[in-house]
Amino acid sequence: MTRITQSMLYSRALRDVQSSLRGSVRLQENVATGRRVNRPSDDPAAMLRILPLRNDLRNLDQFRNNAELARETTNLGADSLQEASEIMQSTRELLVQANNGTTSVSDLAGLGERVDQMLGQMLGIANTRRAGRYLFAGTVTDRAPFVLEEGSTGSRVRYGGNSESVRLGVAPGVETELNTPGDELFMRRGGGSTTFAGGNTGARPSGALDNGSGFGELRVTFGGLSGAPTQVTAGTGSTTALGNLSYTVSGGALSIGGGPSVPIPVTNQAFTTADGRTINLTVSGTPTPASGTFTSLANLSIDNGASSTSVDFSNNAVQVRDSTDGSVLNVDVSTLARTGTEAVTYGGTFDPFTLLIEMRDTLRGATEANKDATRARLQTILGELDGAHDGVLNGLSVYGGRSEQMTALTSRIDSLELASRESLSNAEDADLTESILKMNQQQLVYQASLSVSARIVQTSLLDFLR
Amino acid sequence: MTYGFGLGAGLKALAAARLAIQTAGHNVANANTEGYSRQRVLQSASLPFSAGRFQIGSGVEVSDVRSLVDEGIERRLRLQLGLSGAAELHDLRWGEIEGVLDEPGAGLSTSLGDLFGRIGRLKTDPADRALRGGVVQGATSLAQGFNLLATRFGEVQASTFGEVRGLVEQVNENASAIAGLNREINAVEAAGQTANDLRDTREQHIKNISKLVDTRAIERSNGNVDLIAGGYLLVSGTTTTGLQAHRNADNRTSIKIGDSTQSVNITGGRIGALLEQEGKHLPGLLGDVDRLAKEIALQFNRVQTTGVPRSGSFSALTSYYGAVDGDGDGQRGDESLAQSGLPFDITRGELWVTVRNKTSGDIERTRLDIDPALMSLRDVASAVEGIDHLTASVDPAGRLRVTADADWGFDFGNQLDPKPDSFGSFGGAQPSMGSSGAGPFALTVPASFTVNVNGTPRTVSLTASDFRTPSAATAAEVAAAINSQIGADVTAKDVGGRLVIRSDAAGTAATLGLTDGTASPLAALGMPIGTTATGQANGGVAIGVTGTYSGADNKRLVFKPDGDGQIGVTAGLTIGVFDDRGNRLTTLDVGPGRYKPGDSLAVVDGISVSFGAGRVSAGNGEVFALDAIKDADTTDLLVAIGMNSLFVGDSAATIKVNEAIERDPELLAAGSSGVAGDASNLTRLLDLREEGLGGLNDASFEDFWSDVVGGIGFEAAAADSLLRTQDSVLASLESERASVSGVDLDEEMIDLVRFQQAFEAASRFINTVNEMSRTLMDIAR
Repeated sequence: MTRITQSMLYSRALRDVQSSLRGSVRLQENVATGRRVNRPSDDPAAMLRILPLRNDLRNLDQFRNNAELARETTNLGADSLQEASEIMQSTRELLVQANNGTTSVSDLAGLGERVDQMLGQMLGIANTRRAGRYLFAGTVTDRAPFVLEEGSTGSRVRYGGNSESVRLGVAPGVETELNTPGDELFMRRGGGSTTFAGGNTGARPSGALDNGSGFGELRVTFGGLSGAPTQVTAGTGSTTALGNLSYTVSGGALSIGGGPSVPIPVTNQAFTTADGRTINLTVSGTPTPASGTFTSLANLSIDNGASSTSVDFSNNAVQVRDSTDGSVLNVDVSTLARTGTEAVTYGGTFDPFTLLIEMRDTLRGATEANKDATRARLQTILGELDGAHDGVLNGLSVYGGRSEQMTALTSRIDSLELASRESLSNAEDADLTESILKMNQQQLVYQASLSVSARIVQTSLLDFLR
Repeated sequence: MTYGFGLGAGLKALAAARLAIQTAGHNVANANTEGYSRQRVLQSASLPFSAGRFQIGSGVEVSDVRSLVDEGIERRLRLQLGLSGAAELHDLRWGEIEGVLDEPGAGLSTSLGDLFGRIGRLKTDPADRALRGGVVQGATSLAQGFNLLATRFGEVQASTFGEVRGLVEQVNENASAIAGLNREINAVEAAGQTANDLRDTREQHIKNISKLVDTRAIERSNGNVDLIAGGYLLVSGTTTTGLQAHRNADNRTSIKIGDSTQSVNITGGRIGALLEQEGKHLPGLLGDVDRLAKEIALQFNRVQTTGVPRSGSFSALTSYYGAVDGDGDGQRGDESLAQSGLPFDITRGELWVTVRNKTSGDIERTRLDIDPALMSLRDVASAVEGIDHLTASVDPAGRLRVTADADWGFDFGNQLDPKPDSFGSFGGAQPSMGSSGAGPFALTVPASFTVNVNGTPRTVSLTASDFRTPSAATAAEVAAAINSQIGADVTAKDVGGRLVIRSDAAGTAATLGLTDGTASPLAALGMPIGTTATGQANGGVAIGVTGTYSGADNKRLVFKPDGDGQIGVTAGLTIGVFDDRGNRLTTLDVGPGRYKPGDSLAVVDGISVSFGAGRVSAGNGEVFALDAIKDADTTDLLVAIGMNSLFVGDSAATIKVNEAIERDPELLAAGSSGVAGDASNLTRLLDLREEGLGGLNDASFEDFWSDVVGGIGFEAAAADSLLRTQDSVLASLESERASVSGVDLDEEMIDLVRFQQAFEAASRFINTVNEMSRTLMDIAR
């Protein structure tokens, strides 16, 4: 039988009281913090889940903010595009009004000013900013993407942004584009056919793809002689005949292209061909051979003569380049016969800016003399309106869809967050009811152990020895 | 029988009772004395004497006063004290470590998550100053979190020595007390007595030592106790040689014997636990924290150093780390990179340096091949120096400094060159001719050929000194020879491994032709011979590249026309895209009806290219190359020397945010192009969050840290439960001991009463004898 001594009683009592106190302290901490796991050792296995869950929650928070931001930005974009669309709508009304036969030329100029204002509005919309950042500039968000360049040879809007887009993570593994590059919205040009009008140079669009936009002008000028017989040089007078020309010398007279013979030698003399074209030549002697063909070269320019492409008629496909913007016009020169200018319409290439600029310039430039040409142009513009509207409308539908998507995402993130919070709560939160109940129980045990210990250690034989 | 004898027996009984009462009193007095073992008076009947036919008892005799001690229990108790002492310390230390971690709460996991959160916010507007400041702030508090951990762990670590020294002092005191007691016990017991109280005291000293170190006590036949601690004879009889705590060069604590250099391997008790914490647990933990800090610095800096700050390309940049003077010659930067004492490993690979014209925005990209075993930092500097518009040097502190010419900048970004043919060797305004394939070329020297520039012949001679190996000549070597001899009229260049010779005159009147000479080098180079290239108007074919490269590794794309003709005009004209081994990757259709000049064509991996109007020629060997860079620094050189790093330092104690970036958050590279909304680098950083990293056993930053925290939690929980187990074992052993050796007051009271009664009875006996004697006397009177 084990002997029991007083010191055993004391230390046992102390240990019991201590251990019940320790339990109380832990429970008290759980109740105070509301958490079951307050340090890794409280539940190391749960800890391994708690940290990632907390990170998930922080992530979700970020995703929600991003989705919110994306929704706001998208709504702003959609509003802007809506406005742009409305401007295009009023453009149509204005065009119809301008095309009305009863509108006077001076009224047209007035309408031109209205269009100029609309152009300004459209620029403002395309340069919409949110929190100081340009919305339609791709990722070049710190510079106004659309700049109107008014030049003597025509106006154009240049896009200074890029074709990237700002992307945001809006859900685990899901990224959304915060913006659509502005060139897709406001500079979207469809492909169409190029037409030449007004001129009688004989030049034709070659059918290869051109990348000019709006209206242009092809200027055909005389570019010198090639393969001319001896003694024949170009004169200083004006020349309209281009291409291969036949000539005959007979009896001291020269005939070009079957036209009337002119006695030679002669200086700066205009020769007329059978089909009424003229070529200005200086003939210093008798040309040899006595008959044959030579070529009157053409210079083609689409940038008001700033640069030109020489045509020697050896090849029918000629590409003319605009030195100001690098765009090209492909010309079939097989029937090119005369100098002059061709009004070029790049069909299907009207974006909102081109359309507004061309419309404004056409209206402003309207005179009694070019009234018919003006009407024709306005008609063309009217025909291009729907195409010009396309980019904006596409953008609208993209933005609309994205806004809806963001709303759906936000609610998905909410439910994800709820699930994560629940898991986290399961892992680390104390069950308060249980903790408090346990704590009461512990309190009871503590009190009991105190009173029992007190009673045991109090008594001793001494109390009974007299 | 004599009356005297009766009185003698009575006296002995009185003495025995008195002794027993005194012992009980001694027991009661020491009831609470630690280590005291209750004593018992051993009585026996004294030797009888013969009285005729009988043996007559002569009373009681006290044979011994003996302590009640169970040696087995004492031995187990000593062992258990050591285990409990160790468990107590482990529990204490792990609790301390847990406290330092501050998880879940404001610990590293929060700082790390917070930093990623801030990066995510910056991604919504990479140009925003406040958000940039937020990221830098987040990085700073993460670095400070690491510093704090390192400091606190360091403090815990550093406190070990002081603690051990104090405990060793206690061991020594107890040891000398034991030696002293050995002597006294010896003296007492030599006289045949039992030195109960001295033995109790000695046992208590042994227990004191047992708590601190692993101890074995051996009782010798002469009553001495020898004490072995950590395999070393600490107390031998009456002599003791003290232990001494010693701080080693590596700041670790070791225990040595006296003043000698011989160390003792202590594995048990508090001291053993302290040494285990110091030598194993803390370094392991600190190692994990350091590993995380280093990996964070490495990964974040990889992204940061290969990005372009908001403020654009650098005009000048100095590395943070300098090469150390490894060979001790007083020169820094002349050792190989591998031996330059840089904090991060450099591997063999390529480094792409982008030089940017700040006015035009044009970029020129140069590849440097880095071999850390062969190249020194100075070699790197001279390679950088070789790039146009850059100067580079190694300063006396061993740091690399790179400076760009005015109006030029440099960076290590991976932005696609928007105008890859700035040289103009593909439909350029100037006439050019290129080789049909990439080098190396097998040339025979001496050789010569003629370049006809606008009809004027210019002769180029190639000699052996122009090449490292003429039979494997590179395009760059031939180009250098041409440029040095007729550089005034033409420029030659290595374009994607091919040699291109370009006239410096532009326009339709400019012509270029080649005529082969001695040893036919042009034929060997695959250059077009006997044809004349003509320049073109309007600046030639404008080439534009857009997009972001999404491929897996660095790639060079070589573009060559498949025929001669005009972009968008010549029927069937296509442009071939090749990799640098000459394999065709794709073919771009630029014929009429399908392509209009300036349209973007998708090439591969997110790259789009557009061709302006103009003429291209396959016959003239026209070519341009585009370098698609996934990783501008595959070597980690930039990280290792710290070129605009985000974090500097490579351990928990040293990591901090680069001061330059802290001062100017615009230096933070959110993208790789410097464009306001470019967040490509931030995307890379955010991707890092989920990535398994080689340096962290393929775990992500946060998973690794969770594992570390969880591991500490497991250790702390285990230490706590071990402590409870050991404590309850100790408690049960102590109660076992108490049940044998402890003083039970009730028992002593009973003894007191018992012996008091014995005393009274003996007195009565003496009284009786006395009365008997008086009666006799009365008869005699």
